[in-house]
Amino acid sequence: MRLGITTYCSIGHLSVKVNRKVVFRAADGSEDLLKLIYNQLNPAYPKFFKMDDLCRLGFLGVEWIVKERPELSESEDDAIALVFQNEMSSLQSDSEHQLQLNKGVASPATFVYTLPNIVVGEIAIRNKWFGESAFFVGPKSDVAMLVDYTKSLILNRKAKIGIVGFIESFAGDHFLRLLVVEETNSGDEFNVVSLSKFIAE
Amino acid sequence: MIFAGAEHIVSPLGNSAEENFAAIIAGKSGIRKIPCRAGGKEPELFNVAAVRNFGDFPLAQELKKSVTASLEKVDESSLISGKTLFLLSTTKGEITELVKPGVVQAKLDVLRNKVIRDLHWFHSSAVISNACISGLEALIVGHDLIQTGNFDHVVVAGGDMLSEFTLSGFKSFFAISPEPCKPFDKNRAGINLGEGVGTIILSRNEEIFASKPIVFCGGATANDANHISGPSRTGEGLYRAISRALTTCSVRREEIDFFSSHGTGTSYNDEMESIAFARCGMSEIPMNGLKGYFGHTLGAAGIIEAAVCMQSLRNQELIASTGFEEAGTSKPLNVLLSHRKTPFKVLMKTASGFGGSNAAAIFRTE
Repeated sequence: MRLGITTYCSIGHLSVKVNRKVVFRAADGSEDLLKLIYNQLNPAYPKFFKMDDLCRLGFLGVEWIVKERPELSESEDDAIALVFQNEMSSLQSDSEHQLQLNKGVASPATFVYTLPNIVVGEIAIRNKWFGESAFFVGPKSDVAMLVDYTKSLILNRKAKIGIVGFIESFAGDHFLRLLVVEETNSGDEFNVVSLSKFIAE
Repeated sequence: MIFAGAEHIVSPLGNSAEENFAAIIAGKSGIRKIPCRAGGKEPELFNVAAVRNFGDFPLAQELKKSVTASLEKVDESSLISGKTLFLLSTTKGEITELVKPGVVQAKLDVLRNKVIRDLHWFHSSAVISNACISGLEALIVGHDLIQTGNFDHVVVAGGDMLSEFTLSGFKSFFAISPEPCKPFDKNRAGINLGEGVGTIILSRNEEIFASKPIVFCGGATANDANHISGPSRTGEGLYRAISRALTTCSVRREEIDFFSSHGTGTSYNDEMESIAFARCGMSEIPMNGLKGYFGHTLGAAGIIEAAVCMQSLRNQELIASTGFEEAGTSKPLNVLLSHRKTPFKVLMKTASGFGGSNAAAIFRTE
């Protein structure tokens, strides 16, 4: 079975790229990139403002993908697998919970984001996707698990389409590289080399 | 066929899977009331399943010991010469490192590297962190990567420790039970947190195990697509995880002899599970929840509880659910009230967690 890459989405350096074309660029020195991207997309989704940055980033990446590929939201309930990775897990929200804890005011609204896979839940809720998912934690230089596991999900007929990649938001830096992969003869082949190359772009 | 064996558990109930199983059969629970830190100025008394005192569980060391103990139950040379993956399942790892300067020491891959520092021969390693389904999902991932030929063997270890970080968080959710938890009972009042580690080795080769392994059929995960912390009112994700697990494992629902649920003891979770099991036609099948023995061990729960299920299959003895007295879910469940020696073959294990995640996996004897 050959898995091809059918959509690319990247966020970072004050810009959003879909299929390697810049679709949004914030002015130099802009603050709160994620809010600016949200305003550009204007999804009218107030839950966005409750999310931590990791969830906001993943949410926005998938919003751009669905804007490019509207048929994804029409796919069968269980067709889409979400397979993500980052290096810092939820350490940004972890640090915030720790700060609140030190002040004696732990809050469930922060604590719920102290798990990296909450971003999977936010995306699933938004798109009504009930399929397979996994969150791996490891550096950008080691993405073999993302490739091997996504391939196995499609090969074993647990999913038809994978939205797969790296989502990191820590200390105000945002880095997202997501791919849509599926069984096809077109597009670049999905493998460790092509994913690593895309992440390094 | 893929095999699971060499299971190992460290919990308040003992330092091996066998010790833990014997303690459960003897009617013991790891939950006791001890002083814990949970965000207040002074320690408070909580019912928790602590291995020693609160805050005294060296996670990396315990994981390393558990992995080493499991490796002693297999032909290690086969793992070294084959393609072997190490998978670590955890939610918070060594989160107590967060209070030290910088956050780098709290990174989960730092923990992974500590655990396998002296085991250079692993072909590859990874960390999976998927809330409370992490452990069961790590087993499913391991199974699937053997099935597709990526690896010959997978060593799956899971661990989490009791900490002020998680205790204060669950306390802020009002999810902590003041008494030992009562999964599926009418008077259930929440969870008890626990800590521990577990290891299970998966392999395509039955011969590597010192004692006869269990058959691991794999499983599936599904998302509720409903709420990030509240369980689905329709049990949608768990229903789908179970349905997809049955399909992918080629097991019919009628073949399931017993299942071990997630059963946290919170009102909403247990209610959700009863609905999902009813939708799957599983209301009559004998079942348990194991949190009354171990508390909720988060990222370790899936491994520890799966290891108990494997012991249950090996000993052909069904484990009772502890803490249950009176039915308290809208859909009926056949909660097992006392341990029962009986021949049985097929066992399902489920888990559910924050982020709307659910998992179901199937073990069987040949």
